[in-house]
Parts: sequence; C-alpha cells; structure tokens
Amino acid sequence: MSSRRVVSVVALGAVIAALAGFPAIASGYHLALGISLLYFTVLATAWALFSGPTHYISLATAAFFGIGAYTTAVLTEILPWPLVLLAAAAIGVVVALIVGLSTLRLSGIYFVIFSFGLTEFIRQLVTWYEVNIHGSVGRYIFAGTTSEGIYWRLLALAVLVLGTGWLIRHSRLGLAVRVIGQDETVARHCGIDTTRAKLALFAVSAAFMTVTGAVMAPRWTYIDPAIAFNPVLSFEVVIMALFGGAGTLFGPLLGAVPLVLLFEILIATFPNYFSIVLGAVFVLIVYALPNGVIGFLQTRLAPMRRTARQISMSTLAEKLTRPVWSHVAERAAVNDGPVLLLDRVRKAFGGLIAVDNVSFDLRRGEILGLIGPNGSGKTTALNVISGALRPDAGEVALDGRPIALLPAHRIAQRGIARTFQLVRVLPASSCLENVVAGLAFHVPPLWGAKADGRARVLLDRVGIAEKLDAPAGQLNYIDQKRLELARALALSPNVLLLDEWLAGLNPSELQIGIALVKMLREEGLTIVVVEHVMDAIRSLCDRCIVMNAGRKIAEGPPAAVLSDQEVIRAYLGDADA
Amino acid sequence: MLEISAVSAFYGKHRALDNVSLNVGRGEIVVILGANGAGKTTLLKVIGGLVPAATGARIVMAGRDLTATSAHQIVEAGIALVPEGRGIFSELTVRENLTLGAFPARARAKEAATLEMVLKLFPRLKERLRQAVRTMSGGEQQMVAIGRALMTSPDILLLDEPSLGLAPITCTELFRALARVRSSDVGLLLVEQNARQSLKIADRGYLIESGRIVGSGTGLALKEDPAVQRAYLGTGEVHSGQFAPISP
Repeated sequence: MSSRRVVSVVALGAVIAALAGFPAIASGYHLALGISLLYFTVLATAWALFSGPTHYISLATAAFFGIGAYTTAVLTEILPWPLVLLAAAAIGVVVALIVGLSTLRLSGIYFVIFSFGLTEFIRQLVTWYEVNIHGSVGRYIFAGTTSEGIYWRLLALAVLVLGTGWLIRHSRLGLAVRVIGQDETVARHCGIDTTRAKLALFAVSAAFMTVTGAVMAPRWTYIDPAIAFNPVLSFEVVIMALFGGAGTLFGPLLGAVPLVLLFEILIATFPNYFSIVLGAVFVLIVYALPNGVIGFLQTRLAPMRRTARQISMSTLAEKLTRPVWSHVAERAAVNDGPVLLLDRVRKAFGGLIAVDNVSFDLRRGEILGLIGPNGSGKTTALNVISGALRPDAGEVALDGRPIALLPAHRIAQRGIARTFQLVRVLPASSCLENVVAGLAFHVPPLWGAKADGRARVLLDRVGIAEKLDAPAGQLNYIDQKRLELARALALSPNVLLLDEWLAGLNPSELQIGIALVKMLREEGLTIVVVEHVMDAIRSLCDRCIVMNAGRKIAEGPPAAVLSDQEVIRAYLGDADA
Repeated sequence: MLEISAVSAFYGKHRALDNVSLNVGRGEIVVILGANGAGKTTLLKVIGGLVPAATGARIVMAGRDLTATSAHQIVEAGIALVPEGRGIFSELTVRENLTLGAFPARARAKEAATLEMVLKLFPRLKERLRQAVRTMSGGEQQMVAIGRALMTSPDILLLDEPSLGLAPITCTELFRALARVRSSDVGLLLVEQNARQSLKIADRGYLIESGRIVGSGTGLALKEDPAVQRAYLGTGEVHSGQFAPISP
C-alpha cells in the first residue's frame, strides 16, 4: 500500500469516526439535520450508481424508498430488525429485477415516464391492499428506535453505498455501464451483455433505496401511502445528483449536502415563500454552475487538458515493422472448413429488401472484399454477421456452428469483431479505457493491470500509444479509426469485419493502412473488408463479392470481378476512382 | 470573392493552422490536398465560423470582413459549409432538409428557384423528396447535404471530403455535379482525399502540411507535379516534406 493511500484511508476513517461521534454533541435540531443530510446523500449516491453512467434518468426513487418504509411498517413487530432490513433489500431487488426486465429496453424519455408511473402504481397497489386486506390505510410504527440510532444506521449505509460505488467503478460492471451509457451498440459488440449489466446495477441501486426507506420509517410514527410514496422525493434526488455531478462517485454527495442545507435555510428564513425563492435559487445555480459542482471543481482545478501529440507517418510505418504480435492465433481452430458461412440470408426493412438471399463463405486466413454501390446491402450484411441485426431468413455459421440467432455480445465473444462505417468510439472515455472495453468482456476476460498492459500494446500497434490518456472524443477522425481497430483487436477475434476502415485516407496513408491489414491477416486473422477504394481492394483481397440492390451479382478474384461488365455498369462507372 | 490571410488556429496548445492564406474566386473550383491531421477540416471550420481563428487573421468575403463573425451570419454572407460526415437531419425528409437550407434571409426569396436548380442538379432527389433521409444510401445523403448547402444560395461552397464512402460510380457522378455547380457561378473550396478526381475538375489547388500551405498551383500543374503525384496520386513512395514549393 502506498503511503498516499495509507494517508487517505486514515483520513477517511477519521472523518467517519468524527461523523459517528456527532450525535454526542449535537442538539435535537442538528441531529435531525444530520439525518436529512445522510439520507439524501445515500439516496442520491444510490441513484447515481445506476443513472450516472447509463444516463437512464430514473424517477422511481420514491417507489423503492416507499417499499422500504412499508416493509418496516409491516414487519417490524414480527421480525428482528436485521431481518427487516434484509427483507427490505430483497424486496427492492426483486421489484427492480421485474421492473428492469420489462423496462430497461425503453430508452430516453419513455424510461423516465415509466419510472415515474411506477411510484404511482405501487402506491395504488399498497393503498388497495391496506384498504381491502389490512382494513385501514395508515399504520403506526413502534420500532422504538432513537434518532441517534437512525443517524448511525444512515451513516453506515452512506459508507456502504459509497464503498459499493467505489468497488463498482473499479469493476468490470462499472466499465460495462460506462460503455453502455456512451454507446449501447458498441457495448454489445465488445461482448457486454447489456441487459444483464443494466439490471444488476438497477437492482443494487434499488436495494440501497429500499433499505434507506426501511431505516427512515421509524422517524414517522405513522405512515400512509401518500407519505411513503411521495413523488417529490424522486425529483429532489435527481436534482441533487445532477447538481453535484452524477458521473462521479462523490458528485451526489456534493450536491445533496449544499441543497439540503439550502432547503433548511430557506424554510427557516422564508417559510411562506419557500417554493418561489427555491425556484429563483435553482435558476441562479444552473446559470452559475452549468456543469454542476464537480464540473466546476474540475474546470477550476484542471484548466489544462493535455493536448495529444501528433504522430508522424514515419513513426507509424516503423511501428508496423515491429515484432509480430500474436494473440489471435490462440483461438485459431483446427477445422478446415469455412470460418464463416452465410446461407441464403435475407433481411428486409419494411418493403425494402436490404439483403436478398445472399450466400457466401469466408475461408480461413483470407481477405474477402465486399463491394457494391451505396445502399446495396453491404453494411446490412455485416450487421447480420455481427449480430447487430437478426436475419429474417437464412443461416450464418461460425466454424460450423449457427450464430444467426445469437445476441451481438455472444457473437463478439465467439470471435467476430468489427469496426463501424461511421466511427464509433466512446468519446468521454480515455483511449486506454476504449480498448480495455474490448478486453474485459470476452472469455476469459482480461482485467486490471494485465488489461492495461495489453491495451497499451494494442494502442501502440495502431500508432496512438502516446494518446492513451486523451479522451477519445478529442482525437481526429483518423486516430478515432485507429482506436476503433485497436478495440476490435482487443476481442482477440478470429474474424475481423472492417466497414470502410480505409475510407478517407490519402494515398500514402492508404499504403500504411493496407500494410497493417495485410499484417493482421498474416497473424492469423480472417478479414472481411467493405471498401470503395479500389486500390485497397486490388492489393488486399483474395476474393471479392459484389452486391447490388441486396443481391450478390459477382464473386471471384478482384481482377476478374472488377472487369465484369455488370459490375462496371452498376458500380464502377466509366472512371475508376 | 473569398480571401483569407494569416489564419492560425489552436486546439489548446496544439497549433492546427499556421499562417494560412488563400483565395477562391467566383465560379472557381479550388482544392486543398493534405494528409489527415494536416488542418484541412480545421481550415474549413475556421472559414465557416465554427472554430475561432487566432488574432491577426483576416477573412474577407466580397470586401466584407468576416473575421470573428458567428457561423449563422457567415451563411448570410454567402458561405455555406458541407461538413465531413454530411451532418444531415436523418429523421427529416429530403424536402425538409432542403427547405431548412433556405432559412437564411438571403435565400428565402429565391427558395423556389433554388430548389428547382438543386433538383435539376440532383434528379435523384426529385424522386425522393418525401423520403426520410435516414433510409437513403450514402451517395444520396451526400447529395442532400450538398443540396441543403446550395439552398442557402451561397457564393462560396465549402466541401469537406464529399466523396468519402461513395462507390466509384457515385463518386464520378458527384464530381460531375460539382463541375455543374461551378457553372452557376458559385466558387467551391474542396477538401478531398480523392486527389485524382478532384484535380481533374479543379482550377487551382493548395497543398497543406502540418497546418501550413506548402505549395499551390493550377489543377493541371499540380497533377503533373511529381511530388504531388507521389504523395497524393498514389504513384510511388512518400516522404514528408518533399514538396517543391510552387510559389503562390
């Protein structure tokens, strides 16, 4: 353990101890304030565990909080207290899993609306139960818990939720949801089971919210559904987390503390004008701190972003002649048949048949060119192979095993990696993290220092090693393409799909790109290139498939295919570019 | 028509453009050739008002100083940018995308006539006016992007790699269309990797390297220049810094 780390652990312990000792010196009012600060901190941090990285804005906080409160109200006289908390967490997880399975497919505003509706739905459900089964709407809670007890429990919960948040941030799950938040398609093609990752985090976040509700319930000696499921709570938590900075671990804390204090001061000073003053203060805050507290601190503390150095082409050419990197060959099978086989694949969008009864095979170690006019179905074919789209009919087989119905992340794990026609990097993540995203989710996963080391090798391989800390969004177009290739190679694929990876290069850069692709093939990769650059097709491809209007119109060596009359008429035209 | 001089631009500390000067006349096609990262896109963005130029720069359009003018006013002054990656509104129809282009005051009165001109230039768009752009092929989307820029009835059209990702046959059609745009008296400043086809239609060209203009000449002269042939026409090995500077 480094001395710096020892210092921070000791400091953290001292802070926790000081906070734990607070009730000894606090008046009743200050203790109540301390409870408010802690419970909003826990809720906002728990909310940001899920919503921060995924950008799914959830308004279901009040639903989970209320479930927890009711669990205490119902069970506190039947079960010992620790079991009540466990029961609350378990119910929270189960509800989160059911809700998550049915709604996490929803995106953007639909998820927000649903999560808001969930609170109301559960409130109505509880009311119905209380009226018809229990016989009265409200319940009295005689838990016999003191304010100090609640304070200490909340403090423990705060430490626990921050600790959990820290662990998740440094885990593969944390990386998975950061990737999902930036680009779900990329996440799936990195081998991430996006549904599972989102569900897991949603459930963890919900468990903390329910337990908070359970801990807080004895504060009210009487609760009814309107108190427990108060939708305002959901909004307060969102505002606090966003105000502090939902993307960071301590952001929600930095939002919750000043806002709770602000509420207190405003209520004490302007009891009659609370709402209107609060509104005005919010407007001022948004105006003064558009990026939240964390954003403000970051721009103040780190005004200089490191600027990426430009790499000269000669250095890049040198890199290519470095010792061959051999990770790919490990998975190369003994099987002699085609690596990939497409059999009468068909994919239609409404009335438009994008891929119409296309069959071809991919032989081990070859570079296959897939060419054809814009809109002829090449990218759709790649999407079917990589699992981004499911074919309407036909079969796709990898090493003789059908993959057409597998989800994209399974196909990525089986060894098919791809780049995208319009470059897709994770703009807010560093280059290193972009590549680690490709390493961390295949089987077996690579993680920690090993993954970082491997990612450095891959970044070096594509010529952007010195940019590993730069956010990918700051790279220029060509470096983003390189980064995307490094991420694809991180999957240790057998088959690499390059969708116009060489587009936009000038002739000398093109030569370097072509050399790189050739070298990848020599290292054991089988490659499909979709390209419009005929120089690349001629010098790279062993075979070409030409598509037009969704159909295969020619197949053969480049020289033969490119002189085919139908190909010239449909694709090349009179001037060869 | 468009004259820029002493333009430098920075991203943080990184100097993307270094004292660049060039001009584009009415009805002229000027091409900028250079490696990726040389500053071509930045140059177009500076002219279009999307990236600020460092102090000392002058951007003058038809006698009017546009330095430090905001992007939408630059469009009003008659400069339209077709950005790299097209930047079309994919959920809108072709007609909506084109109509949006005619939003600037300078274009509104002429909207119907310009639309007719654009549809004549790209007959394919006429058949697809009501189609959502998202569902169209790359070549057609590029036509929409250029068409939308033309709808602002510009005097100068800035094009950032319009041939990117286009099939050879579509590429040829595109360059033919650009040559026709010139004949309507619009000046074109074209950034291209496809040096072969762009030099074929260019009146003049500039070579840019590490943010600096390192050479210029007529389209024909550049096409014949051995250094340009080596670096941009893919007829040999390349070493950087070998261009014989052609005096501007």
